[in-house]
Amino acid sequence: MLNRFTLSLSALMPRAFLLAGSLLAAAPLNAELITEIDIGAEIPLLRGVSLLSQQRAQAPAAITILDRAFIEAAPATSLTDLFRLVPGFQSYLAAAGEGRVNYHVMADAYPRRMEIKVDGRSVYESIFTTVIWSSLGLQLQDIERIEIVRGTNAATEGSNAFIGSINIVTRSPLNSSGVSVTARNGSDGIGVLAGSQSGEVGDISYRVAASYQREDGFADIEEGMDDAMEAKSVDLRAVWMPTAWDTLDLHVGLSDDRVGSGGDDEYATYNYRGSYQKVSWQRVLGSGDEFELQLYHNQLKTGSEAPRRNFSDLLGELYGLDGPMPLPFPAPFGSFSDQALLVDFESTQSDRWELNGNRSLRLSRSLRAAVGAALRHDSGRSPLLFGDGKTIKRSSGRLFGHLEWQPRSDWTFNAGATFEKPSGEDFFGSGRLGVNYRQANGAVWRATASHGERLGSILESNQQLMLRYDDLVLDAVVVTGDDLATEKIDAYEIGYSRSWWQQRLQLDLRGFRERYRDMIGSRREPYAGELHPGQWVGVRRNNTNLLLKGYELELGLRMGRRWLASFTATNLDLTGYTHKYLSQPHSYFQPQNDRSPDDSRSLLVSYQSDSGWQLSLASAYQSRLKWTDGNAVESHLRTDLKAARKWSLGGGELKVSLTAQNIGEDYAEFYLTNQFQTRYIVSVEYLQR
Amino acid sequence: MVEMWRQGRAVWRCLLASCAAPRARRTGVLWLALLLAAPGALAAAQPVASWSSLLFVVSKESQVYRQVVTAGQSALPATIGSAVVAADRSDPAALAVTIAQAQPELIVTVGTAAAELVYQTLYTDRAAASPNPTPKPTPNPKVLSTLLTRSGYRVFCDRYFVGLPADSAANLSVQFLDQPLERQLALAALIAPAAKRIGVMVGPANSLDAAQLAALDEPLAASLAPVFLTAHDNPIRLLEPAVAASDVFVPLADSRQLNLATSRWILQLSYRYRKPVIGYSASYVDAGAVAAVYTGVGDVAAQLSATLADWVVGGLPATGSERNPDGFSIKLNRTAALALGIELEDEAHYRNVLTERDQGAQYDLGR
Repeated sequence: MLNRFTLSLSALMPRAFLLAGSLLAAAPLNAELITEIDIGAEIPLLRGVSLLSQQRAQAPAAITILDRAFIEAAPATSLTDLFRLVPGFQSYLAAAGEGRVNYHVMADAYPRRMEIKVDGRSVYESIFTTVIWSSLGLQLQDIERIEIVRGTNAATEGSNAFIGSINIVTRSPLNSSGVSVTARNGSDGIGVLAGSQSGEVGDISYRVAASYQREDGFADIEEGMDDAMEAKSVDLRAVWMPTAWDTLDLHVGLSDDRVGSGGDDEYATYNYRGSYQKVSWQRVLGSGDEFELQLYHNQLKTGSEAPRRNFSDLLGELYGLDGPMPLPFPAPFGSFSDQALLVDFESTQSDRWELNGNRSLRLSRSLRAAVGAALRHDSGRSPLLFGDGKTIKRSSGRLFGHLEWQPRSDWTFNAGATFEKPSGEDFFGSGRLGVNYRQANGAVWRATASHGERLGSILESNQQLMLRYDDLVLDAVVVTGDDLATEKIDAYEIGYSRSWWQQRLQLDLRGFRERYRDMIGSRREPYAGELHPGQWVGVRRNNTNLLLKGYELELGLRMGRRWLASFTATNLDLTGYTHKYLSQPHSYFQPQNDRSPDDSRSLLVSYQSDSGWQLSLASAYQSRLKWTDGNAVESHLRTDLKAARKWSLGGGELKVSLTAQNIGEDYAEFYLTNQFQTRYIVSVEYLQR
Repeated sequence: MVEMWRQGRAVWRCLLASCAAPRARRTGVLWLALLLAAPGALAAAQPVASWSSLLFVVSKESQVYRQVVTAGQSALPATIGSAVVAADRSDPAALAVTIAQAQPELIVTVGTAAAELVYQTLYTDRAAASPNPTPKPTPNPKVLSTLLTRSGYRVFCDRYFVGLPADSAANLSVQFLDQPLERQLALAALIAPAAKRIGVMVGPANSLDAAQLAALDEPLAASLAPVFLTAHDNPIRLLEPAVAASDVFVPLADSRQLNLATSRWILQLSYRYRKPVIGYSASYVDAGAVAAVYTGVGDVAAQLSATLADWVVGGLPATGSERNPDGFSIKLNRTAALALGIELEDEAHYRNVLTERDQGAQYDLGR
């Protein structure tokens, strides 16, 4: 199979790759002479903030890195559990199988203002305008580290990174070995079976991973409602290095999920079928600069298990009958015959193609730059969401650049900008200025000012969610208004970071002020329906303005290999309004003060003994809030515990763990019906070394 | 004091006179600040040197080079004037004019490009290696090269010193930038005391061969397993089995391109096989190596300062010399060590042990 891979890879390599290769082959290298610059050259670290390899002390943003040690120490069984331990984040379950992650503001059932990438590939889905986490097919054991930019990163990554960005770096074939198998079983029908194998075929290193997981959902939901989930995925990554300077990375995957989604008393079961293909080429140039070209395609097909319902059933519900409305229907439907109406997802498909390239440049010893361009094509088809079966398309181009100037070793200045031009829309742009100052004691002060803009997704810009009988609109739910403007954020940050005890104890503190303007939401407006003139409809409008002030604190401690601890604290002071109802002559402006938690805290403490035991405790506190689309939930403290034991076995390592999640009182996740009770999960992992 | 001031004025005039050179060359003289107006009381307290003028040639005008120059200047009494030329804004002809006019008794080169410019200026015509030899400045000054790698020095020897009379070499002293491999290996053995096999990556810019490496085995409890890498190799094909078979891995510095291209794979393989990497720079440690021993700018500056202070008292040396770095810096990455299950001692512990090992040690300079 992998031999065929090699052939298809070279056959698929676009001409652009080969042309660029010949252009970049210049830069002759004096292979015999090593200079002081060779020895002191920076080894690549973070690239997410600016596309330059930067240390945290140089980066113009607050960064959290969840590395392998952190992931293994945390009593987490999913990504949603991990993000609870990141300052400023809201990580929640919109349904048992639908994890959601958001940062700072506008958390709802489909949070859509943060860029989420897996190995540099955007997984922000273009129809639902969010990340369908279950379709990513990612298990925690597949993840090498997670790089999180806290705060807008639109200046580097474009409008998807409006309030922040996450890059999940999976284990490459080079840092994982042999075979690994994980089996997990727990409360609420939780079950996981996952495995991976890494190896080499010829010159290609590969890693193949497959997983199956399921759970029954929350125990308390109403009888007959289905919030169970079941997910299957397979993923293949191959790395090929034709020379010492060039790396070709191929990544493909398939996923097939069945997820019960909804809340309160409305649930539907969706089938998500996802696939992706990504190929990237990286070259280290003679100057030490780097060049990267990446092409990827994501596809998600969504269908509901019950996309259509008979008109007679709907009328029966409307009139409070126990069954369908018998024919002939009452006025004004007297002349209507019974037929199946589209009420949920059917033939829904989204595709994203993106080609992007970037290059770092060292202009002088103190001046570095990164430049890049991207072409993206999004398309979506959904008879339910767009009102017909046509495919909605949007192409966009993006140019981005970043400049870092380090006139002295203790001062770093950063400037970055992105310009985007979507088809049929005007140019818009985002930018950032930052300065970092490192004191003699190693402490770093950071100040940044950012402006970001985000264009509504193809759903927000084209939504026509209606109940139709042929061409007759029976009810309108959400439609898009005219002339949606871009959302805007102006953010200012002062940061301070310092370490003590030879970096064993690390502190990062940031204070921020973020003004959000023209945020896109849904405003209830009168709608002259053909059947009921007095109907209301949600119209996508730039109807929300917010001001957020606050601070985030992150304290990490690592004492040898035994102790790992982390404490985070976040305070958010949110003010602002959503223009919620348009009813002449009065409008209703809904305050947003309670839409983000005022306070959140997290604590992780882990101890590992020489005999192979690891004991971990994680607590996450969140003050009360009113979820948009969801319910008002009270403040809660969730505490998880894990006890794990490792043994050497047959040239590998066997790890058995028992995790208890939420050992305290039940609490509500997003909807009051999502009562999270105490869960116990037993996990067995075998890793061949 | 009047005499000192006159000396300073003389050097100043010489350097200004070099501005008669074309504009591009004029910019080569960057800092003409002469530190000759010291108070008489201060001058009286300082030793009187047998030489009186020094020219620093730096690769370029930037903070790293400036730090080394500043350290050198701090060791000089007020009787010795100094000026600074940046190599990236000069050329052999312009530098020859500067040297002829300023007549420095000592030239200190800081950086590889600076060393090459000075060697080219002073020695090319004698070697007749250039089609357009520049006039040889007279008298021939002593040269002290710092912030220069062994590799760079070796290349320059082949390029500029072939066929030179012995007295030319006698004028040249070198303080190498790269730490002795023995020190890097000793740190590797300290980090992984149970190691039986130390993997070593040798790139094309290193002249080490297997026999030379084998000779380094003796003081170690482990055997060395070198892997030789060229630009045409698939690095994974060579590095993967090498890292897998080693207990600790030591990449040697090479060209920047090779360093960057291989470091990411070495560090990933390090994690995969749970083998620590001992790097050659602070940046390598930042990126994921468990530890590194390297020559920091402060170490270079301190060694230059100490050397010049000695020469102020004892006079310029009659013969040239080649010296390893006197000092070294150590950096540890506790996060990487934690991931690999390694318990690190404090940095001071490793420093003390390495310093102890250095007592009486003679590291081979032939590499």
